[in-house]
Amino acid sequence: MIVREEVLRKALDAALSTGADFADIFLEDTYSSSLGLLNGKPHQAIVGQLYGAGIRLFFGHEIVYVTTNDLAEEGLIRAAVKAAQSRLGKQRILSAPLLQVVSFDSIHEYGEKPWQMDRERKFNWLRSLDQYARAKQSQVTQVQPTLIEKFQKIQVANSNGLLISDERAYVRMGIEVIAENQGVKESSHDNFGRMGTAECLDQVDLKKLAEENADRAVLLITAKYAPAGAMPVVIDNAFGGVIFHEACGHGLETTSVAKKASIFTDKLGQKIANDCVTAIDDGTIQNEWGSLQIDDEGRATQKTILIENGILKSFLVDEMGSRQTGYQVTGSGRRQSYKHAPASRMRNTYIAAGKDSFEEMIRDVDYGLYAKKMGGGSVSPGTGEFNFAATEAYIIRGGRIEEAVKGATLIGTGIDALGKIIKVSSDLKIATGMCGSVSGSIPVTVGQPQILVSSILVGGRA
Amino acid sequence: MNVDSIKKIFHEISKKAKSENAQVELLIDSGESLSLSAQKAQIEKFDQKTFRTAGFRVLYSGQQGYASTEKLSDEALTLTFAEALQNAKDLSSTEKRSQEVDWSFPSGQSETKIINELDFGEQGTLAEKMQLVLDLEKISQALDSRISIVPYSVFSEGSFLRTILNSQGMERSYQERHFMSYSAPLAKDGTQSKMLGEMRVSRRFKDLKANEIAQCSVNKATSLLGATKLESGNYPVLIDRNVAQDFFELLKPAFSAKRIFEKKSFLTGKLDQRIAADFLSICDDPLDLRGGGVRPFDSEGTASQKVLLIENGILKRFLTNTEFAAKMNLPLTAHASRSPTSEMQVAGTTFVFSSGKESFESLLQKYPRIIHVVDLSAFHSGFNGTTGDFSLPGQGFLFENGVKIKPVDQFVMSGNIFELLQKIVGLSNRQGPSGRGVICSDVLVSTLSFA
Repeated sequence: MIVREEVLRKALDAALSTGADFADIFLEDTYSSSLGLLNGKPHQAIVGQLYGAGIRLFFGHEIVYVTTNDLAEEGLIRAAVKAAQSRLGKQRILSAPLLQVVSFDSIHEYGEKPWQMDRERKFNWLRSLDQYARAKQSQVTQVQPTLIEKFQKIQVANSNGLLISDERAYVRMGIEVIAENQGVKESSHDNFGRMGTAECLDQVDLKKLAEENADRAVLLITAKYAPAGAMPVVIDNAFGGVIFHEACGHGLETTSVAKKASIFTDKLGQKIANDCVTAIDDGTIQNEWGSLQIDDEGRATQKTILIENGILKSFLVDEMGSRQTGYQVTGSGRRQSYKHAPASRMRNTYIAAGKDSFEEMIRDVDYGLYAKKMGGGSVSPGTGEFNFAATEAYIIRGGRIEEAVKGATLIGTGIDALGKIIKVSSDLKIATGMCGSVSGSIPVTVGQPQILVSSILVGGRA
Repeated sequence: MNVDSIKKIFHEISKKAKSENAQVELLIDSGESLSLSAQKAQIEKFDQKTFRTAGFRVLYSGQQGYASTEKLSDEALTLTFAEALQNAKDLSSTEKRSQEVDWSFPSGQSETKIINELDFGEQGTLAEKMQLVLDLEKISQALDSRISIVPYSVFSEGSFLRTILNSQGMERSYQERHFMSYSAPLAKDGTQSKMLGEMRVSRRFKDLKANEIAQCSVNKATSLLGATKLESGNYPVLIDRNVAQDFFELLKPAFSAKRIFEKKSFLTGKLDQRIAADFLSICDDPLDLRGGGVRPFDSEGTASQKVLLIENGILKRFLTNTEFAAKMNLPLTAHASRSPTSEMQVAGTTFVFSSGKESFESLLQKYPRIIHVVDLSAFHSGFNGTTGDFSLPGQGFLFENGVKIKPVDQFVMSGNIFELLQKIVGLSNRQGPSGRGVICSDVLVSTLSFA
């Protein structure tokens, strides 16, 4: 427990003093560590501690949010009073109730905490990545492997009487490979993340991770630039799921829906995609990077069916989103840290496996693009315009995968893109990412099987 | 915990560091911020943050270890220093390293005049700030019937105190304050929607005027209604000054000596070579009060200085900190950059482009067809920092012989930023808004690919 129940109750009571109809306090004590190599040698060792609280009040549909690093009784109450005083002149309508501690059995399993594991073991994983990459391709000039760990303790108390705590461990291994040939440089990067502790990295195929990125960096040196224009695109599985994340995912968060700043606002129950599309956002996958046990509002997380056979079934709903829209909470309230008020956000978001075959999709395309490796993307939920980068792609010509190309950003609008997904394979994979939005940067996964989009604008070179 | 108590405990920590043949630096950032937003004629969000973070950097046998904490008690600071020291020791003990150049944290004696305070101006009342965001929404909706909603009517302000102490006698601090307002209305016409925001940044609250910000953002959004898809091809392009400021931020990391050292910059090997048009000069100026990167000293405490990076198209300098100036035998430019929780980087502050002499209108007449780009996005995913290649979605207007023909959208502007510098053929005489990391005007480029 970060702060005692009695202190939290006093702080909640102070927060409610000017008429708020709901209050919660989110406390956090988080350890983080980042290690890295450069030129094959240990080069980076950083540790840090985040320690603070965020106090949130609701006055109807208005949100007040105040943070503090001072978690002593006096400091918390001072912050609560500051929050309450943003709305002077209103009468108290609630007092803080007795807090009931809620316990649960976590579905996630953890091993040694980050500060317990021998550091040399961690550097050895990173050395392996470096050595495999350099051994695979002589044109590799730089390899930067990194290992980031986080152990987060949280505590949530609210004016409904809830008092709940959780511990979350995260580990993420990354690699960036730079290759050069005759003055031309290219790079490739990738990462693997888990909601878990570092011993899970013993199960990761480090050789494959390193060699794939070395090969990709070298391939890109001689790859031509992607062509420009609208064309059919086969998007690979795993991180290919960024198309759904950008095209639709953000538009399904009540952060946008409640303001009517989403193209999906009035489309619940309507057909927004072809029958082959079922999309899910799931916080309950054991030890998956984007998973939770409880969300950052203290609610149990859930598996949410967003789209089923093309029909929009649900939004992603947090406490304020529920208040504003009337939809049920989906355990999707998330934040980067206590420094951010929570908002409805994605977790592990994927298009469910379909029935089509990847080989058939390629054969179906006379001239188009196979987007094998995706970079990140972004979206304007209000207009539905989205984009994402294809960092490794191939021309499909006459139903065959041919020469490699690079440097293309694919753009479109959400509903239009959804309606053009015409085939979904059975080979679902999920990949690690970070998503930045109103409540900060949070761990998410994106995923899908391979999909065929009948037409999408490829922004290559004219 | 106040600054005097922190200095007292740091004195003890310094002694411990010296007894271990190490150097130690403590960076403390503290401050407050307020953010307001309005929705449906009410204050939707009131967000007030107080923060304080202390970060140690320890130099031991040529290796740097870092540790940070948000607990500023004596015990927490002492423990955090021990973690940073251990981190440095772990890095230095794992491998035998070849002879590296000796370097040291800067001392506090050698610098000249330091700017300790900036002109904050009057700060405005809470009621005035709330009224600003309410007015942004109200005025936007009143200006044009095609404005359906205003998803973002935002005000924010921040105050920030940075203190740097090190075991070589450095003891320095400065304060900074800024105000920002942003409006992004959603314009709808039939089935087409457009949303383009207007942001203003200033050190004075009174510079933020709701009617100006609202008018600009409404004009931006409504002017793009009716946009049609641009035909793919290569076009001359005039990058609007508002967009150019964001676009040329992409250049900054390439000038970092650290990235050169790590073989990650596309400017490697190009010192004293022509890399831009011969009328273009770019400097980095942390003391230009128009810019968003103003600071009197860098993150090691070295006094800030203006640095000429490109002079008449020739690359003259890379940016350095103490470590990389020593390792690469380059002049020290005082561009150490870090937060208490991060490792030391080398980063630019405010890039200032030379001014042009021609009007915006005359630049638009330079070619029979020009794309005036007013919006670009996907900077984080559509740019390759290693090669300089970019592929960015955008919106704008097609001009023919200086006359605006139509708005265009659904295009991706692609090229290489290094090559683009050499294809710049004109700069206008109207500079972009202040408070950003790049100060430049409209930029005319002879040709870029549009898909």
